Amino acid sequence: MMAFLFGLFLVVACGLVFGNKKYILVGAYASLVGTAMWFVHHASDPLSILL
Amino acid sequence: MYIYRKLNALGLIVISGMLCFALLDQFLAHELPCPLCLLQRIGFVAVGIGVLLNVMRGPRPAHYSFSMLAALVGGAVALRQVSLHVIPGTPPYGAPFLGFHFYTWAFIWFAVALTVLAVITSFARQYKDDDGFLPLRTQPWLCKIAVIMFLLIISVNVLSTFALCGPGVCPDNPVSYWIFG
Repeated sequence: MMAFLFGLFLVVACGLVFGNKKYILVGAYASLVGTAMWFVHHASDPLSILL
Repeated sequence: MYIYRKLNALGLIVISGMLCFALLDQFLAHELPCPLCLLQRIGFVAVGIGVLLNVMRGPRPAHYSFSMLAALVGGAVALRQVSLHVIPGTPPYGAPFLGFHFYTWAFIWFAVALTVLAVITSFARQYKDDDGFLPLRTQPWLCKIAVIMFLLIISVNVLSTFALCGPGVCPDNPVSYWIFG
């Protein structure tokens, strides 16, 4: 999954270097949201420091 | 000519350098990255995407905004890892570098990136002196180097992460590469 997230950003980076597509920023935001969701999903346990 | 693109290219080289250092530590010191470590690397890549947009298409507030949001996400990941290891009796992850662990350094660098980006965004002149999208072959040499470095470093991260974790979830404390069984 983590390799997939890296892969998404690689596709976005290649898209914006080798093409001039206007929707590439949307792809970048989608990748960032995916990363944030993956982080939140796997970091839902409470931190000991907060308890 | 293209002074702001070149400044962004320098920023991209700094980001690539940090990612390169993390990879060297992984390959030479055999310190395999944990899932949160990998997410922090992704955070730096995401910050770099906004900077890369500035290099390729010229500076835009939307590009800086993306980098700042990415720095916030990356900083949150780093802060969580710092919080996991800050309690006495909780062992740290990995060896320290110049007195701090990598996740602490990551948090510092995300905070620095956020501050620098917030300041640079306010320079309004950069949005006027620009030609929009420039193909890679017509970019200044500094920008070409920065872009190629960044693409290479993401590619190596894709391969090394797949070798480490495979298609599934990464182990919390990896001791060997998935691809080698």
